[in-house]
Amino acid sequence: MGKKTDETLLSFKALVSMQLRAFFPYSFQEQKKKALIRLILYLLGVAAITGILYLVLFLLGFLGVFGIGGRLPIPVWNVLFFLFLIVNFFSCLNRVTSSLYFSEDNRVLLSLPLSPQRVFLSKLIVLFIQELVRSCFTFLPLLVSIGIAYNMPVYYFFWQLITIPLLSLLPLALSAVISIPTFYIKRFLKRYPLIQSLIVLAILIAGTVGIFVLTSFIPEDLALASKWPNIYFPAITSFTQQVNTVLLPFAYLTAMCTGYLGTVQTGIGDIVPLFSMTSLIPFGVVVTLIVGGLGLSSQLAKRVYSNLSVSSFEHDVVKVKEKKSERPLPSFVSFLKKELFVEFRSTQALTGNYLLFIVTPLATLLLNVVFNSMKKSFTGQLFTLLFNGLIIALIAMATSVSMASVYSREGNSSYLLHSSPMTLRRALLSKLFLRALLMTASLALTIAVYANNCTLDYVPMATVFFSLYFMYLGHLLWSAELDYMHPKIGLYRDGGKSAFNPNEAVSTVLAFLFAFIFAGLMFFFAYESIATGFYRLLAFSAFFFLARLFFFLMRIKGYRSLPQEGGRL
Amino acid sequence: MNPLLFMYLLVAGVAIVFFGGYFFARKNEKTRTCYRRIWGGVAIVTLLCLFFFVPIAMTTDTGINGQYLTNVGNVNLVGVPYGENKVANFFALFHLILFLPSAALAVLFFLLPNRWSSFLQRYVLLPNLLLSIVFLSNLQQAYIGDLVISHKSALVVINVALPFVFAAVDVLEKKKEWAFDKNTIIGAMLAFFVILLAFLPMATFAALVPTDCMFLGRIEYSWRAVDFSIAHRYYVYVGIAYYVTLFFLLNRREKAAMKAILLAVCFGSLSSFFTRYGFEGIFDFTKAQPVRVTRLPIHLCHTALLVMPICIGFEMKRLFYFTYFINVYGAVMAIVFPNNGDKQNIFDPDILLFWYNHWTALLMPLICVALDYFKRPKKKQMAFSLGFFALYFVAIMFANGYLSNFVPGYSPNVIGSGTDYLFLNNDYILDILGEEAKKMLEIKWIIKSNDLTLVYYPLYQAISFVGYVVIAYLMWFVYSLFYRIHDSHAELHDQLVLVRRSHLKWKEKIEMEHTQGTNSSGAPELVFQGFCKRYGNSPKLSADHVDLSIHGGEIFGFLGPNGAGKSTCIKSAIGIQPLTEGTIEVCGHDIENDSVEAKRLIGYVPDHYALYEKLTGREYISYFADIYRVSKEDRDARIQDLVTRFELTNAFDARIETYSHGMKQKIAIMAALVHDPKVWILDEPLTGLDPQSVFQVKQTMIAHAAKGNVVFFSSHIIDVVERLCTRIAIIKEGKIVYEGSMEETLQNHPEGLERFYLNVIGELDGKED
Repeated sequence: MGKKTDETLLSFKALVSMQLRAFFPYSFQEQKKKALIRLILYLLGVAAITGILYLVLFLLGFLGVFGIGGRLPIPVWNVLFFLFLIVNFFSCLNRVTSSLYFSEDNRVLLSLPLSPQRVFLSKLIVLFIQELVRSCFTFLPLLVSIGIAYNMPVYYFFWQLITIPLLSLLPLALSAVISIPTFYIKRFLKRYPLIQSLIVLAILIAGTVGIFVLTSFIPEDLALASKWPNIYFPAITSFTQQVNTVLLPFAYLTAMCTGYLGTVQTGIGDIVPLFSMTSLIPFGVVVTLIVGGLGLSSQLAKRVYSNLSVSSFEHDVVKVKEKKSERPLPSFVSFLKKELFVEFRSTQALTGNYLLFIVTPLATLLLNVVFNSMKKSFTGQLFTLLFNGLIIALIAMATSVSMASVYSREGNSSYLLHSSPMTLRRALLSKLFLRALLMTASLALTIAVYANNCTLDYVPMATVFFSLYFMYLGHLLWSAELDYMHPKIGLYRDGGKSAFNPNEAVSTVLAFLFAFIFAGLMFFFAYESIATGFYRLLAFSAFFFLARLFFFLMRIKGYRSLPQEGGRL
Repeated sequence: MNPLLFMYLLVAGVAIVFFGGYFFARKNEKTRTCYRRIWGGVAIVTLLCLFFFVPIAMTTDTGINGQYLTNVGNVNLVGVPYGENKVANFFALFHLILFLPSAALAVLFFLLPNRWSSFLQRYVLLPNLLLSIVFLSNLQQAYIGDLVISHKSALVVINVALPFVFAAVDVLEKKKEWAFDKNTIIGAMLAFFVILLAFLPMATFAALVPTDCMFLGRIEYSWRAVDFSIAHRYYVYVGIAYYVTLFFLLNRREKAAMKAILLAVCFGSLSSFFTRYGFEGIFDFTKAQPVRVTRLPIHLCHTALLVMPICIGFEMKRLFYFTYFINVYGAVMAIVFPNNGDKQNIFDPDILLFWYNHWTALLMPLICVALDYFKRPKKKQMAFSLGFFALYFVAIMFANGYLSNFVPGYSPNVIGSGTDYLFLNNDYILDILGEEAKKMLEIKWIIKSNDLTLVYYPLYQAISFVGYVVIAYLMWFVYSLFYRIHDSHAELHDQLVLVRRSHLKWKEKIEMEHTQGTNSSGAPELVFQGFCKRYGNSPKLSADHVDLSIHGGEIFGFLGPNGAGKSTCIKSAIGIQPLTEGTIEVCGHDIENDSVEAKRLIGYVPDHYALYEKLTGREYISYFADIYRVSKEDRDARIQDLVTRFELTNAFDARIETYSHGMKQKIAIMAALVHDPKVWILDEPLTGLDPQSVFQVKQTMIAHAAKGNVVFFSSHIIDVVERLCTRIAIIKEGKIVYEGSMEETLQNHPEGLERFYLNVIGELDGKED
């Protein structure tokens, strides 16, 4: 019996390490240097985020945005905690549901000689570790920066070694239970994609309406400085107080983590000793919730996990209506049709890839309503131009970051691009056509929104549109070239998603770089001469686009067949 | 003695001395080379002396006898030798413009003969220098401002005579070389033009652009190249354009030509530098302190001008990398924050001088590495540069402290009243950073010793040093980025050249086939001819001289163990991998050079089916039919036939993601057949299929071959191959180890295909049942 228990434990340990290996592929024993570098980079990242958060807290306190006295009022902490926890909870729920019930590795894991419950627990352990790592980038910097900003005692920082795991476990435990109804909802939506699409559409419309409503609240004359003490500050304070009446549990959660309790009743906040009843009671509640959640989910997993996790691989046998034969289309049109079907038949892919096209004009609208409510000098107007250029360029180029995996994402199907009887150049450029077309519409709408809110004439606006468009196209081509020259087909070979594609990371960096350069040039040229500045910007952008197009075509010509990915296709 | 007579006698004397010695030296190759080197060295020294000691009077702002050619904004810019006679004055300037590059190039080409020098010496330099001899008085007027006998005039004459005799000797030695190809002529003329620009006297534009120009408008002081204005940026663009032209001119040229041109550009910068700088002005022996200490050429960018020709001439690597890391950065700073005066417009000689010199300091080291004249630096060379810079920095720091005592009107309490080399003794840089930064200068050390007061700003100077070092270190990363960009473009260029050559070879072959009537395009066949494939830098060939010919009507089985090269051959045949060597033809169409036509005739079934799972079966097949331009009638008929044959009628309009493995494989097979390909290639098509599906696929293969098409497939299932194939080949470690008809194979090897195969690949050695 003891031997069997040992064997089971060993199997369980192997199961957990196998799953962890996918998350952190560097073994400390085998690849010390890589693992160490990765760890150091993580720590530097945490330090950087902590520094930024500390700076933000310091500035908010220094500027007295939420309160006088140079410090943030504790009710504001409650709101911060609430926001962090809510966002974290929903993303955790999504991850937990996907991992437990929709993960491809379930096919393998459930075939192993381990009970479904153990598989379930192993996944929870792996998810906990992932949540812990994530918390090091979210809650830990927040709590440490609060500790530094408010001169907390040393034991406060040691106490976070307890609170951080708890803050990681809490959403996990709750998600483990809620994941079951979430699974059913997801499966229902998968079965009825039309409903899913309608829901997404409804959210989009609501979001758009929300933006319009938000813009109506922005006064015509913002006058932040002059109206701050009498209008804005009291409004913010009142809002914070109102929100805190609802957020009482989070106030106690804050007290558990920081030792400060701030509620509507306590006002600015009482300092409570960290290990007093006021902070230990929430501690107890949290622990109870965690234990309860994990226990309940574990018991439910015994009964339903196996069935639920494999059912995601099943497809309903539905009666399919026979269709008529399709009429022939020109190859380019057929290609586009195929792209549309592949992209638009997945709501997830649709929202992931195309949401930003809708966000761009809305963000521009919001930004410009705020800018228009400020009194501006000539330099101020130029800065408005700069920020508009920056934001629009950033969002536009963010949409083309995914082009850095446009060919690799075809997975095994990528051979079709090279074996089909059309020139390679045509096949590759066709993949980019849809994006470019959609961006034309998005940018045109964005510029129309901007034009409606600024004093520039039609001709300068048109040059701004084309300048932005050429920059976007240049970045699009560069991203596609990255993928063509350094294909990562292996990451998408079985049609799965990749956790990290280095080409996309490079494309993201380039997007930031080009957006800043574009905005800077826009400002600089306009500052020198409004009359000729936009034409010079257009010339620069056009040159950039033509250069990228030239090099992309040359690379297709020079490396006509699929560049080697580790020597094998 | 008449000064003109003196000059011509001097010319004759130089010629006689030179030719006299040359007559004897030319008989032996070694002595001739030695003679050339000695005289070349002498000529370079005299040329440098000309730059150093004889500033061109015509382009100084001190004027000649109080006469000026142009006057812009009440500043006199160009001194004139011929008074009011503008035509004569312009001729003098034009003569100067031609003389300087001709002299320099004649000397350099004498030491470094190359293809261009043969042309230029004969057709450009010799005539120009002859012109200079004929109009020697004009040249003297432009240089010295008067026709007198002096050491300066003698120097001018020697620098006319020596290059002239060098050019004459080169022309005489190569008197049979009259014809030059178009590329040489264009290259040489462009090189001369580039050097002409490098030697342009700084007052040229001020002389040539009148104050009321109808095209450019009045040249006002508003046209200032300061503060990154448009004029400032145009200077940057012009400098970059110049050096980019120089790069393309010299790229992949012979080293002698490269060296000569690069040295000439450096000499051009030195010429203008010492003309405007007034080297002789450093020494003023009439005064108590004979050395004008504020005029020493020891600024960072001055060192670049002095060091670059030495590095290039003597190929001194260590010294070169100092300029590469330190001077380049210093020049960038100077260009971004130019220290021009307020009253200088864009054509002012001092402005031009500033840009000429900083272009050289910035771009010359970069171009030397770009041209591979000096190799890319290693980290230890950067470390050496930083060490050398540290010594230079300390020396300058102490020099500032010491030399400031000799500046008239110097006061230790007045910042900027002393010498200011490397901007270490002034608030010029701190002014840019703001008032708070200037407070660094409040911390100073004052050391009194005898009559000297040495003032140092330790905090400012320490931070400056650290700043220089950090930025120089960061240059390493900037350079690495540019190297990567360059390497990728160079690789692309080489690749395009290969592609073009391959295409031209193919075109020749097609033309030959047409002529001989041996063109076989159209007949179903798949031909591998000397096909080789190497992945990356692998030492081993994955396909090693594969020669196969498969004709219409054959079902060809391709066998081999895992990793033998089967998939390599197949993937290269369908055009998704480049060939390393050899050719693959599909129905007479080369897969690399006529890829579209070749691919139109291929149907391919991959080993791992790759489908767009969001499409239905019908949509997927229709997509393929559209790509291969299958007519409606044909596609309807074929789809109907294939759907029925593979029993997919019920699932054909469902999404592929709902299909089983076997169904997906069948869809892949259907997609490969919808256009009725002449060559059907299948890679392990039967893997994972149920027996019924296997039978269906086999029947389809037989039917397709029966129509006269090629069926080429690889498989591990020997039994199927034995029953199905008309011919087989076995590949092992990239090489075809067996090829033959199935009938023959079984006849000669009655033990069966399986055993035969295992014997061939060596699996059965000593492992009998």
